[in-house]
Amino acid sequence: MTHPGSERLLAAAFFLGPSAFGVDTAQIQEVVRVGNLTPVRHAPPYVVGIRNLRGRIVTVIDLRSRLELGRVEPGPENRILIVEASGEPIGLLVDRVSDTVEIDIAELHAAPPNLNGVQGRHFRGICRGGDRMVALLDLTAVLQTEAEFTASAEREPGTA
Amino acid sequence: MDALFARVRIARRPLLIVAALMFPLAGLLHFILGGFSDDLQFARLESQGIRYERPLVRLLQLLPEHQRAVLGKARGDAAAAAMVERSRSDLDATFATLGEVDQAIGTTLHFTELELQQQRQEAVRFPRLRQSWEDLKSQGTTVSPGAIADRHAGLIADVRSAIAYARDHSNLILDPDLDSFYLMDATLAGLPSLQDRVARITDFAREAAAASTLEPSNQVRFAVEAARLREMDLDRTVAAVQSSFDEDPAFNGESRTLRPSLADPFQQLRTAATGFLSLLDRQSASASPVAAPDEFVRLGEALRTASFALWNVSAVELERLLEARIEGIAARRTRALVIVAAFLLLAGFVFWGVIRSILQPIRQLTAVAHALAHGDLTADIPFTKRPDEMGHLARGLESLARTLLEVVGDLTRGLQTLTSSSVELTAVASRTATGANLVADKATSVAAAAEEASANASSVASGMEEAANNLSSVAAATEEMSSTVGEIASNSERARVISERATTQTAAIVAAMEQLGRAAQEIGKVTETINHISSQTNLLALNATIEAARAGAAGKGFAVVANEIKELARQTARATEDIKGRINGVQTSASGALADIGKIAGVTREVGEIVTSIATAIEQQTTVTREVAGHVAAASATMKDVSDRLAQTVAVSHSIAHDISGVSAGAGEFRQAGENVRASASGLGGLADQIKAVIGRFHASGSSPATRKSQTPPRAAAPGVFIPWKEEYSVGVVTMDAHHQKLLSLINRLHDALQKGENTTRTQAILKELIAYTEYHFEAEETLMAKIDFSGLAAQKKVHGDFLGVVASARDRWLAGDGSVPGELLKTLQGWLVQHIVGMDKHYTPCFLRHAAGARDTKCPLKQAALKGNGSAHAPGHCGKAADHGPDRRSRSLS
Repeated sequence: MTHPGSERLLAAAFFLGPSAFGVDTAQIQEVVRVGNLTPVRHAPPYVVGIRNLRGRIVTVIDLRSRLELGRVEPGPENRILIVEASGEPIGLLVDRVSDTVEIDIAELHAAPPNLNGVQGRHFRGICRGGDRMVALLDLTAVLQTEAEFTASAEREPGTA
Repeated sequence: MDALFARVRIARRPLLIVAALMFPLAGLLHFILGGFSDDLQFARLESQGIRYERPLVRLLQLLPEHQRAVLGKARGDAAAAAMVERSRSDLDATFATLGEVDQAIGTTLHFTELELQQQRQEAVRFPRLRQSWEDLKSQGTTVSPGAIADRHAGLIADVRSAIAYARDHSNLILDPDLDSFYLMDATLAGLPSLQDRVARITDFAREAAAASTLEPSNQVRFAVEAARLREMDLDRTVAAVQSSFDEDPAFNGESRTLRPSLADPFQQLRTAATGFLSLLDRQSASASPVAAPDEFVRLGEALRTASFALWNVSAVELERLLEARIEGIAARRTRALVIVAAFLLLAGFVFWGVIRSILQPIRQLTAVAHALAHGDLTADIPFTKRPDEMGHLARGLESLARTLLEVVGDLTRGLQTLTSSSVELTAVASRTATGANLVADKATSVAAAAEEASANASSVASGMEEAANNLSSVAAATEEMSSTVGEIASNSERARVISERATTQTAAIVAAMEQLGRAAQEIGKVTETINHISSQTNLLALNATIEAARAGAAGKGFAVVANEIKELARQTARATEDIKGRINGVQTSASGALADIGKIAGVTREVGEIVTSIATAIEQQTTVTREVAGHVAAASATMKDVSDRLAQTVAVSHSIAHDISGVSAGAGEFRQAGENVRASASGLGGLADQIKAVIGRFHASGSSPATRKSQTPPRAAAPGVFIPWKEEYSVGVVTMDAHHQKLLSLINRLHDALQKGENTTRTQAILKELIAYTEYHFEAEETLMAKIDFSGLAAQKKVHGDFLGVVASARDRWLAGDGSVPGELLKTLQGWLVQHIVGMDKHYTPCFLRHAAGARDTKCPLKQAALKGNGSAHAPGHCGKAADHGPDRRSRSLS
């Protein structure tokens, strides 16, 4: 199936509610169960808490809340994707992790401005992964704070 | 330009700079040395001029004497005739000397015919001078005295011209040093002029003495000549000599001989001059005729002699001054050369130091970079403390090594996670197998319980039949009630006993059903555990996939295995769901059966009560016969109902038994899956070992430096492995390929250890490990062949055994001290292993493929994945029938 020369990436597919999303596995360190989360006072509403992962302190973010899709409903299938942002481990709390899917970068379509209620700037693109559409998240954009986003938009008008 | 310089080694490039600098330097040196050389040339020409002048001045001294002698001879003076002879021989000798000097340096001083012609000075050429002298000599006293004097005067004038010419062309008048210049002036201008003038005054005095009176004009001429002699000649000469004395210390050091040797002749000249001048003064002051011309001649001759003496001494001193100057120039030149050489040495030293300070770090850092390239991350990096660019470079290398160390450390930690994951996976697989066994056990006990329940139900059914029959007979007996009351009583008693028994049996059924329910619940718990395990496996597999993706090309094989594990986890989850559904069915059926049995119990109790009431009613039988008949009919209908329900119970029990067999099958599948997971985990372990080997190339793991060194593969081993693994060695079974690769790597290690001449303990340790691993591998291979019913198993077993015997005996001989063993053994190992893998092991590939293909519809993806594809169609070995009837085998394992 693989065409020689076409660039592919392996994405971890997960669900936020009924929608399927993907993150490049190269950006993921591992996927862990929710475990014990310690709430953090005065943190932004999307920070669910911090978690001790083998001695490393991971800030856990409710990805649904971050993408303004409500909140992740607690359940046994909840998982945390461990990624790294600015050298700091960040946990992304998701409803359910389904699988890894191979994505042909050439077949990646640009995301519409608004996808399932999420702003298009959060996506690298959308494509078929297996038997459904997978929206490939741009982690940098997702983890960028609003202030940073605004700042970068001011710096580079028109590219946002 | 850059490409041109890039071809030159860095060590040579500064030489280019040196070469470029050498040209201007050499030019500069050339000009400086040329300047010295010119000065030397200049001074030497001056000395040559003096050398040329010496005979000429001697001629000046001798010619007037000769003239006087010839004139005397002409007058008939006998003494004069002898003097002529002596004077001639002196002059001949002097001309001969002049001829030699002219021969030697005449050309240098431009006394050539051409140049003299251009300057209209042909008369001063040596041949012409000698010719004039020869003419003068041959004439002798044959001509008049006037002609003699003219001839002499002409020759003297030519000699003077020659002196002037030599002076002009020998740089003497350009003399740069004041001491030698003034001495030259005294020698070449002052003294000749004085000599000339004294000669003329003497001649004039002699002429004047011939007259009887002194004419006033002659008296005036004496006064004029005295003044000229004093002021133009004597004062000039005295001043020049004095100046040369004064200036001497300022040029080339004070001459030690100048003042001492000149002092006497100088003083004599002044004394003689004073005497001559006082005579002249006296003569000019008186009008009386010249009284004593001889006095003039005597004093004049004395002055001339003194002046020639001074001239000779001066010429010698002048030459000495010039010599001193030449020596000074030569010394300055030598000094300049020494200084230049010293600076060149210093520059060379600086050059050498700079080159060394650049080259040495480059060489050492290159060596470090090579070491890094070969994986030695612990090499000490020098020069990191240096503040220059080499320090930057060294620090860059150091941070590169540190980053590599961190990466290798990360990889090692990732690998540890992987290894622990595979261990965990193995544990999970074991637990899965245990869980499956538990399920099978529980299912068996449920089946037994269902069996018992079925038997009990049957027995109840037969009891019911009997009860129904009895009721029939009760019904019949009611017709003859009165006569058969006793019989009815006994019959009703029996009915009561039977119904009691039915109640007891029903309770037993209830107990069995309750046990069934508990068993089903326990299965439910087990499936929950399995569900949990499968979700954990899934998560592990996902993480493994991610880790594999992060590892890039090195993780490709691992990604396949991770995928398979994920697929397995999914299969497990599906199977668990299946079991859960079936268990739910069992539980529903069991609770349905329980409800039914409860109803049966109620009915049975009811029957008992009815029978009791029959018994009590028998007393009033007579009056209630019709009522009894009705009751019996009701009982009969109830009995039918009971009978129906019992039949239903039996059916339910059968369905339970069927479900339980399904559970059993699921458990068997489970066990299979668990085993496959364990195989995958061991494959995972093998992969981890391979990655570990790759990382092992870097000396960076947490081990101590000593062991680290010993683990480092020899540098030469990487490109020239003794037996490299080839794709053609693959037998198509991942685990067996891993085993074969491990065996090859052990043989390669043994080979390397022997090549490097490592100590015997270490090589023997490798050999020991090789034998142990070979035994383990043969066992695993034989187990696999047995599992796929490979017909060549017996032959393989024999070959394996023989080979182990050969290797063990070789080891024993080696331990006994046979030094030729290792080489032989390596050859044997190489030949045997490759031949065995390609010749024998590959024969089970098709069998394994077919076995796996047969098992495909049992949904065993691991086996499919374990195949590496192109199994050859022609198989010398044969599979047993199980391979041809895969599904049969599966059903057998399920039953």
